[in-house]
Amino acid sequence: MKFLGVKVYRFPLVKYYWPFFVGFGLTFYGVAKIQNAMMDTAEFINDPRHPRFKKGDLEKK
Amino acid sequence: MPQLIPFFFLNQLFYGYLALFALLVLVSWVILPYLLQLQIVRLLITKL
Repeated sequence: MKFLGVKVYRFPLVKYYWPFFVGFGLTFYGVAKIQNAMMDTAEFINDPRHPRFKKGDLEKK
Repeated sequence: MPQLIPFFFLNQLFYGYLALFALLVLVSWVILPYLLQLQIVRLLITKL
């Protein structure tokens, strides 16, 4: 098989690397939780980039 | 660079994963098969 003029030999990535992909997913979930917790700390709750301002919640906390 | 500002954590992680996946595909589908083919061709030329 060729892709952009380069010979490509397809290797079954998911079959051998699925534990890593699961790990990526778990890490993503954990970092999302950390992000949500950190966004609501005193340091960042009034930051103009906080998504609560886009949702219409404009009061200072 | 906003690495430690929490609003950008998931963004950085997402594009980091995207870059890693692209590298993985490039190495395992293109570069390693090419090197293997080169080794086999050299072996066949010198040993046969």
